[in-house]
Amino acid sequence: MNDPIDSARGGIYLLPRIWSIESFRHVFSNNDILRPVFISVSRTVIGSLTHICACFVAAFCLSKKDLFMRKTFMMIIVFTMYFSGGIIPFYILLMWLGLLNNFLVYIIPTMLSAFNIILIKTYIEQLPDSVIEAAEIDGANDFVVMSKIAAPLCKPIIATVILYNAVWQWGSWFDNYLYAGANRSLTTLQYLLVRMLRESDAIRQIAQAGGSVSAARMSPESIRMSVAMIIIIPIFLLYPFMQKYFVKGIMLGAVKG
Amino acid sequence: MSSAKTATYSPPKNKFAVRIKKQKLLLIMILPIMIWFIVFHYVPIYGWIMAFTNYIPGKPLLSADFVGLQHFEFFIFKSGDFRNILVNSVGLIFLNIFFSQTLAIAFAVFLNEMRVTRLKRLVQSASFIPYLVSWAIAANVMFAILSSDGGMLNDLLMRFGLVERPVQFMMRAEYAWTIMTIANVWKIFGFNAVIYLAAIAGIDGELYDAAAVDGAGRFKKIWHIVLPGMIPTIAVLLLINFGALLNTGFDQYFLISNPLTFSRLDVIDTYTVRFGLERGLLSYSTAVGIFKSVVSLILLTVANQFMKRTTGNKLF
Repeated sequence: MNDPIDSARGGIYLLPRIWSIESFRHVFSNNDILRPVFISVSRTVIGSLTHICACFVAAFCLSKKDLFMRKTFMMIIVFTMYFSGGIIPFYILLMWLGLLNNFLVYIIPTMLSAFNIILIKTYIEQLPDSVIEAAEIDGANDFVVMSKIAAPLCKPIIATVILYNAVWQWGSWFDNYLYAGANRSLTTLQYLLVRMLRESDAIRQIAQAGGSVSAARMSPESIRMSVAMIIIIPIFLLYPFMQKYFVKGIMLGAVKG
Repeated sequence: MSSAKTATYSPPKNKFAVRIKKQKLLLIMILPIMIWFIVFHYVPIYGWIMAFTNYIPGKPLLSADFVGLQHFEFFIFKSGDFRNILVNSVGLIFLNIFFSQTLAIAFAVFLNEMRVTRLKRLVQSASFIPYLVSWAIAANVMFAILSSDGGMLNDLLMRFGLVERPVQFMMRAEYAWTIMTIANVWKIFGFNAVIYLAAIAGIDGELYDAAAVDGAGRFKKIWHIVLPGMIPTIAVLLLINFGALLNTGFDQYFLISNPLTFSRLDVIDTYTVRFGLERGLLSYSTAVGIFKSVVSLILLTVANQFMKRTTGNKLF
């Protein structure tokens, strides 16, 4: 059940071809633009929320000066900013972990980022010590201090990190192509657009098979433009409201640098 | 000596245990995070073994035949791709760094001099949008502008009679670098400009007053106050960019290249993906990846040392 386009794609050499049920599903989802919308929205929402939670916990722990092995932890984290194991070993790792062609490949490997941890940690360190100390004296444990005291004080930086991560999640297609390209039900809007741009076949399929009635009457060009519009509109709608956070985020990063 | 020792003495094991116990919650929280970093950033380094063997997917990593540096040798000396890939990666990145940084610096200085606040904000917002737009969209925009089949640029050129037939901008290898650089710069310079604006905002206001007393005009102020004030930021940004010299990214090259312009846009990242995941030569492309990682780290260290000596700015 491999279609020729799929066989030409990356990853197929390494994959057990056991997605026969999946291929039925992808016939339906491929003809539908709604499915990629759903995938894109869920990876953006779930991805950026898990990202901020994980990064905030990491940053809070590391902002404690007397944390056991703090220096070692920091070194392990900072080193990853400048060095990577490369894409192929990473691919094999995802294969071992069973994350290939799995929705979680959008979420788990992007859960943490050294840069954002350091950004949030710097912010927490700038908070007045007295607030957190007062809570600790009142007998609150670290978890309570983190979620009830530190997190509300960090709202600006949390908003900034969420926004950047959400924009990144919304805009990325490369991981979709590499790590989930064989599972068409996981196609994101961006990847759908990329495919339309590169393969006239993909767009013809959608135009002809008519997943929705209106799509059947549309020209390939207008389908492509409508997908592009679905992608672009949320960013344009949110941008005026979010602008101050975007700029603030860069400035914080610049100060740190 | 011994009395002092006994006075402050407490068994280290116990102290350790007390500290751990006190931080129990913190450690429980940080543990999964450290595991994540080790799994996703350090375990792949273990996969480097592949580069020295002929790894076959599905078999244990350590059972593969050891071939030493054969893959590296092949990539550098025998593949015939090495020079082209290196020229493309380094050339495109240099063009990108040079134009995006100079443009961003000029733009930031220009915005800073602008006195109409509303217009200033509008211009800045507009320049920042490309950074938020995905490469998939950016590529679509470029095709809409440059396409030989009803593209905007060709329409204009035809209307003014500058060309007789539509120019196939995207299909011509000699335009590939120009188009790529314009796309890269368009996408990043607004972002960099904001960083430089932040640097300018951090300059001590008294300096301007002092310069004004000395009779400095607008351009003298820019030259003697604003630009020197930006140097630390420029240094750090250049440093980060040099560290990522071979880290060209993949998206834009994949999207904008086509079989005709491919040879000019094939960078180290696209090469790795093409050989590794599309042709299945895992060991070989892992070797190429290692080459990239190691060279990047060396470049970053050298650039860091250089900046530390010359401007006193450093990353680590």
